[in-house]
Amino acid sequence: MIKITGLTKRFGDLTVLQNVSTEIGKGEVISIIGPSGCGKSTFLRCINLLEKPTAGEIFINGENISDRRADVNRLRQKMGMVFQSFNLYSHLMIIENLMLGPQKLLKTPRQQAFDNGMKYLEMVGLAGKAYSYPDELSGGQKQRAAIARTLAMKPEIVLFDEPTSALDPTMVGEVLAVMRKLATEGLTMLIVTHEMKFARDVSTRVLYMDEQGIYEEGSSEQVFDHPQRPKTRAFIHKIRSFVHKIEGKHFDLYAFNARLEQFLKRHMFTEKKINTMLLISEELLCNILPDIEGEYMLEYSDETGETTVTVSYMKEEEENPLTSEEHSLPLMIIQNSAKDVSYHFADNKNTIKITLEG
Amino acid sequence: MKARIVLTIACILICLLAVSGCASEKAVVPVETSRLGVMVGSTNEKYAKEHYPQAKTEHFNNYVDSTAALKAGKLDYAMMDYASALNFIKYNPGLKLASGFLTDEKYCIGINMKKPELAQKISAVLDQYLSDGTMDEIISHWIKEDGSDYTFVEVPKLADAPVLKAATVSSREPTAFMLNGGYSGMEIELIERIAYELGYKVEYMDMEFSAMVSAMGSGKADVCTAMYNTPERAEKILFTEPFFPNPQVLITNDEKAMSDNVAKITEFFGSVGKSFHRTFIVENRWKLVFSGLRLTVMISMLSMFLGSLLGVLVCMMNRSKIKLLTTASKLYIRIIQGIPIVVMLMILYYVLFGNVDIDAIIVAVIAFSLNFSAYTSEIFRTGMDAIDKGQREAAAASGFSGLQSFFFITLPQASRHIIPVYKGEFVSMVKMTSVVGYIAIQDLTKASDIIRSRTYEAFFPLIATALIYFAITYLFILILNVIEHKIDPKRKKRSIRGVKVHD
Repeated sequence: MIKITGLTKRFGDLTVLQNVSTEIGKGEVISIIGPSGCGKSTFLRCINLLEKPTAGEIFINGENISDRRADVNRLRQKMGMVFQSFNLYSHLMIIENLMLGPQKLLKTPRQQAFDNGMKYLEMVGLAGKAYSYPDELSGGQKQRAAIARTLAMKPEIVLFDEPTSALDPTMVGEVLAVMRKLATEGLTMLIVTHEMKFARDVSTRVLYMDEQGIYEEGSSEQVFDHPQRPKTRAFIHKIRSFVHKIEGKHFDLYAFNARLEQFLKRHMFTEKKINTMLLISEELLCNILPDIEGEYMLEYSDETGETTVTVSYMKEEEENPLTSEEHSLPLMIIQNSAKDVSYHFADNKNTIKITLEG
Repeated sequence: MKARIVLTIACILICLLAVSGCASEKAVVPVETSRLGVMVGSTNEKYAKEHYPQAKTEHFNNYVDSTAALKAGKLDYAMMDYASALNFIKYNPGLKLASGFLTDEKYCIGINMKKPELAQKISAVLDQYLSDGTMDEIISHWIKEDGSDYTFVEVPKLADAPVLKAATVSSREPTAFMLNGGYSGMEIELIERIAYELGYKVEYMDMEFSAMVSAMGSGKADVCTAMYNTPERAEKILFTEPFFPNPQVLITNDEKAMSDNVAKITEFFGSVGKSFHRTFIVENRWKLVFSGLRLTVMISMLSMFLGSLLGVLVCMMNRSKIKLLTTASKLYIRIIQGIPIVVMLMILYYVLFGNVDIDAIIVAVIAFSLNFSAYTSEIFRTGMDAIDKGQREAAAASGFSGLQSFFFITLPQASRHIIPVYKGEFVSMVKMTSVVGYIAIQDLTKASDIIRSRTYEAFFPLIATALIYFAITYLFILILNVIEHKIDPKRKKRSIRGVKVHD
């Protein structure tokens, strides 16, 4: 349906995309992931020519839209776009937001545009907000309305440009739920996102972008569980693990907790599980191993569903704190939730590893 | 509340009158060190400079203003020609002549340098009038030493004839003044008679005296009805033989006739009705006010319309990606905003369109449109900058063209930012049109000037004019307020017109 060949984009001397080629078929749900600044958004914006490609060609159903003579506006009607900042028309009511495009561009009769609009608002759960203005809606509602507006144009493909990045963590879920629904209904979607769990669940294909192009691509399992190339591996590892340096007496528990909680939330841990993690970590760092200088690392695996917490620190002699009598109470708390707790010593490095079920 | 406002205004008036009254109670001051009122561009201005260099001279645009200042005690003497002096004394019992004839000037008709044949023809007729006594007869109609009424003579007029453009100053009773909405006086009768004999019909250009020489020089006027012949002027204007001796004299306040302040105040309150009658009813002066108002409104409206269109154009240039256009529009805005509107008006009228036969009203509309566009383009620009780029991007992404996106997205939102500022700018433009009198347009302000020159009263016509300006600007603001409310989405009804809602 969409074919991209040799797409190159430069901003001045900076090359963002270099010779990118790919094809997108009907009904595909493609997630684009990668480190920030790798050109994911630029790639998306090049596809509907919001950014003018420096070189390369883009075909939609065989029509070359990068051609000078192409009717870009007509072709854009077939490609919806959902923005990070929603971009609802602030002077129009939500239903008017949905009616404007179909009425003015598709020449849909007013009544029909209204009925369709209401249908899409119902679909995203906002029928009750049809007569509200955008600034009367919450972030999540705005983004759902923006998705409905895009759908009202009956596009063949929808481009999502980090649709949840500007949202409060509490509102991410409602937007992802709508997108999940669209994916199951067979809409062709191209999603730039940082929501890894979501990407993993809904994508038929994942593009990992780095080094000015598509660095690695494949199914969710291939990219997330068995990445082949080093940068993909490092990225996947990084997004799956949380690392915090412990600085002895100056350890700031509150900053640590805040960071850990944010990480867990982003990976869709439940509230209960987040509390367990915070409790275990606190018992470990404050009661069992106070004032150590070392590193805390939390990793989770989508495959096994296990989470492991590893704390390592330097000490010249082997001394297992888990066997100490005075640590029995905090240890009991940890063991209550953990599947396994172990101690390991090698080369003056002490390591405690806690494994938890998914 | 209303009573308090009236009371406050009354108090202010009483204070003003009291202050002006106190200032006028002065002992006789020698002319050499006095405060002396002269008229800009006249021979008395020159005379005062040469003969009374120590005097503190105040420069006025016409004798009405200098006389008003004299009466208010702001001057010790006012210098003017004999005919005007007689006239002011006739209407103001508190004034008297303070000198004999100081100069030996005589009125001549001035003719455009570029029209020597016209000058010859006019001179020939005038010479005949001087020799056969017609001139003396004309003078006797208007110059009445005893203060009696003028003798009106119906001068035949040609309806369909070439136009003779005559520059005149209509605040010079009894030689040229407005009466019943038309021009009257000795100069007027003379020029009408000459025009009839030569087969012309006269079209008057009423202007400040100081503008007459430039109007003649630039070719805006064919003749000026009366002017003294000086060597300086003779370089730019052709003069006929003198037809009326009219030397400079001084007038001053007559201390004996000065009434006390309390009497003045009671007189004031008793005379509001009379003032109204004098200002609007006598000689159908309301017609003058009305036609002035019509011109003011017309110039304002046309300038708003054209200025806004031009403003859009300049704004588009300013926002364009072509550097040359951006620079040009910025330069344009800086230049127009940097020139006072009066100066620009006169540059356009006397310099740029100096040699073009163009209606002064059109020149005024051009000047105010240019001026308005410079301000509105900036208003439009800030209005558009206030709309976030994201919405334009969303419109583009769903397939709207640039123009569609402008009309459906940017404009409705930008106008909400634009209208409040636009309102203020328009009101300030309406008020600024009061300077069009400089290029001989009889707008509202000029009409009130003319009435003041006939009623010898400053207070009532000025306050009335202020109220009229206030009323028209207020009316316009009301209209714009309605529009402002209409486009405010939060005031719109929460429903979609023309659709059936299914449950």
